[in-house]
Amino acid sequence: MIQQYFKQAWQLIKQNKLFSGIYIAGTALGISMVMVMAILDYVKTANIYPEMNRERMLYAKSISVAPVDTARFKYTNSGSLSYKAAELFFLSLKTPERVSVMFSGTDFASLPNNDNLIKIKSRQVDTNYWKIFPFRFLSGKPFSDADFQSGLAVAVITESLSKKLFGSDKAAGQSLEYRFKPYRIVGVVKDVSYVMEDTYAQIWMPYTCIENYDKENSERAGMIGDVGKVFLLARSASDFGSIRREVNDKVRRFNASAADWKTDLMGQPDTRKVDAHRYWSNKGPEMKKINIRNILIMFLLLVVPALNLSGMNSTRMERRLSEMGVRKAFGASRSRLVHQVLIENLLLTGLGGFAGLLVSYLIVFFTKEWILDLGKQFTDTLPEGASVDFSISMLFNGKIFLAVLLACLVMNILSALIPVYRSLRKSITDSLHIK
Amino acid sequence: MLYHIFKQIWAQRKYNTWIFIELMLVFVLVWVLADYAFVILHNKSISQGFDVKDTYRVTYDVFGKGTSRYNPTEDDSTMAMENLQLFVRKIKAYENVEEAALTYMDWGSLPYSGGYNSTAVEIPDRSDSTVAFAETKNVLSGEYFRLFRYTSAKDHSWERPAGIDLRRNNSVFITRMVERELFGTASAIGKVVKVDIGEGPKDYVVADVLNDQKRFDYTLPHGAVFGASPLISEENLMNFGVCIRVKPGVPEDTFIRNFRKEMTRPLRIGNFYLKDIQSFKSLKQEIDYSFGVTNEMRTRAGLMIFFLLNIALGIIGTFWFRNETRRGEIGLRMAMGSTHATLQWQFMTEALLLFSIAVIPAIVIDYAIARADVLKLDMDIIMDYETVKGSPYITQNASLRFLITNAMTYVFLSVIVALSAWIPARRVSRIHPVEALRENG
Repeated sequence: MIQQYFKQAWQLIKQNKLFSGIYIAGTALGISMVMVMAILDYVKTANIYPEMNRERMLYAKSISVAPVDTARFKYTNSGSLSYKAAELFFLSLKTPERVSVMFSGTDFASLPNNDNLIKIKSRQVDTNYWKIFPFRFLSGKPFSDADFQSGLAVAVITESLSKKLFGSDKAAGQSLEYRFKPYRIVGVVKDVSYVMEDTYAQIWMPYTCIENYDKENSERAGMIGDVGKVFLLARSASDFGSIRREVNDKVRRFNASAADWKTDLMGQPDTRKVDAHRYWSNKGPEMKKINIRNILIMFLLLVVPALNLSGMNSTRMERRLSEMGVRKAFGASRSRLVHQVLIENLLLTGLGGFAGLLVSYLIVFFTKEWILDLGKQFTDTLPEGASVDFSISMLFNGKIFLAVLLACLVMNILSALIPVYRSLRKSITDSLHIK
Repeated sequence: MLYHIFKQIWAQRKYNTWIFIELMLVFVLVWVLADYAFVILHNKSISQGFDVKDTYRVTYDVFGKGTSRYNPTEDDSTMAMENLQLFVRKIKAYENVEEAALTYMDWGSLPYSGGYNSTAVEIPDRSDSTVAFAETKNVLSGEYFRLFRYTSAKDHSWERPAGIDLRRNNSVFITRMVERELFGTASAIGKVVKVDIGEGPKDYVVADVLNDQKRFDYTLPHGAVFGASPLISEENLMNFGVCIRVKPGVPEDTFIRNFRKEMTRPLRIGNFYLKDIQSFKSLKQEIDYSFGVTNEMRTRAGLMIFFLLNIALGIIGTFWFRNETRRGEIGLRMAMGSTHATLQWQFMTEALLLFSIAVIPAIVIDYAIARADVLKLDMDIIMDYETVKGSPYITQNASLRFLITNAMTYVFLSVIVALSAWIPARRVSRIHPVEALRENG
């Protein structure tokens, strides 16, 4: 039965090529924009190399410090966490599986006595970082706990930096200079896409070999400093609640005995999604507002084309009313007619959805340099020589396809329901009359 | 004729509902985008107050004690200052460099820097406590004004401010806006103001008034105060850099490439080395990008294209199929003497009339949006629909701005609607009358 509907629907589509063409184009327009949003959201929150554990990770990066005595000090300050704050509130946690602290910077890499300077991004990390993010090592391995404890000047570099400096990816054992300080290379990893904000870099070294990483700022109880981010790997996402309780407990105890300054983590540690929207250091992201805004935009992106399609469906229904009248006169039940029309519509919408997905890939491909930054408050310009590459798995995967299906369904309902219902309510004689 | 078309639109109102709603919705959405574009373009057209064309920022760094290239013999502080002077002299002597000067780079003093420092400027001992807010900029020497072409409001030359030493008589420069706010139509030159340029609130003499300047291209101008920066010493070396002005016409990437290639060795003086050279044009692009402006514009442009495509598709689709249904009517008209051109005009007019009717409720919605004050951006671009008395800027005159932006949207969309209606109209008007008549029904 369904098969017959499909065959009939396909016939009708072929017969009205122009109508079908415009209908599919209209659907593709709406679906492509929604899909671009879905792809961008996927890239920011799904598990992608080397951040393969995002769904059970929590993040923290800023802190706000307010004075106890507001007569003496007027202002609240905020900024990145200091190492002391990271130690106090995060490194000592018992509930998470692992906790890692990371600093980052940008400076020049070079070979000794060589004038060629290469500007690169660096991260200063601990040994837990390598366990939380499963990097793929092409040669060598990450620095060990012993290296980290003794603050040895060792480094892990990317494949492309290794090739630039040494011509091969087997650079383990060689040395390079970063900021004109020598480092011995202990491992070479597969390149990380620029799209991965927490792990993109060209060189990683232990933060213990950087002078003053734990230097305390004398102001504001030493809570504000230069930590890039703190990563918490939970055993499972269901532990998030207990981790937050443990963190809040530590903050509360600190504030209770604080003489001059009270701290506020503003809702951190965050899930990946919230972390991606936290831009300001003095207040958290208003997720409710952001979610409403995104839903509104998605709605508009689907409703405006749906209005087009509804109009076209009305006209189409009008033309086929006579045919419907004949069928009704011969005893066809209303539900059968509804089914047939809906399947025809579904087929057209499906084709439109497929076309829309392809268009969304094209859009992402042609705007890849900047498309991920849309909606961010502060962005960094792409460093020289870096390129944004979307891997195949970022674009072709189950979640994305599910999103297309959902979008198509919504679009279909929006554009078909009312016209179809109205035209079917007409009596048989009315329908036959329109000839 | 118009009345006739109007009657037709009304007769077909059931089929026109969808396209009507869409036209109304899209008008509102396009108006929001057009309003933003208007504010941005308007602000961009205001004069900057300075000129960074052909200017570059050169930064240096010092080999620290732990590094492989550190030279302990050059670590004496007098030597360091001499080396730095040599550094600047060598850059000045480089090919195509017209001007070079050591400049203070901290606290937002350079054009297009991300940093920002503001202060209250007031007239000491004045009873009515008028306060102007101004951005503070600290300069090392008068060369700064020549380099970036900051012009005096008095004679529009940069030689005037460049020739005044701010360290004499505790002087500052203020901009026209601050002068107007504090002194009205009187000249501020020679008067005393109380302001904090980094040394706490103190009294300074206004030595000159500069033309208004904007912090970014797309914002309105606001007040600024220029005062002397700390002198350079071994402790604050890293707060300074060298800014240069290059002969016009030299392409940016060639200059930078050659500079890096030819000057890296010569600028290895003592423990100083050349760190980076970047044009102010590219610094400006980075700032716009990092403050999210570039992305905001791209998103809006993308959305605009999306809505326009939808409208075009909608009008083409609706009118195409409607015309197919009305073939009989078309044939009749042709038989009665209408030409191809008349028919096309008729359909275009029908579309435009439908559009114009939809615009009326749309403008009401626009008004509600403007009043509800939801058109805010989290940046320095003032999007509020408020009339600021005495402001010379159109964007601060709410009714004028509302009128202009709606008119812009109406004209723009009318063109799209007319073109979209013309395509099917053209096709249908080519039908032979006999064929069309046959489809009577």
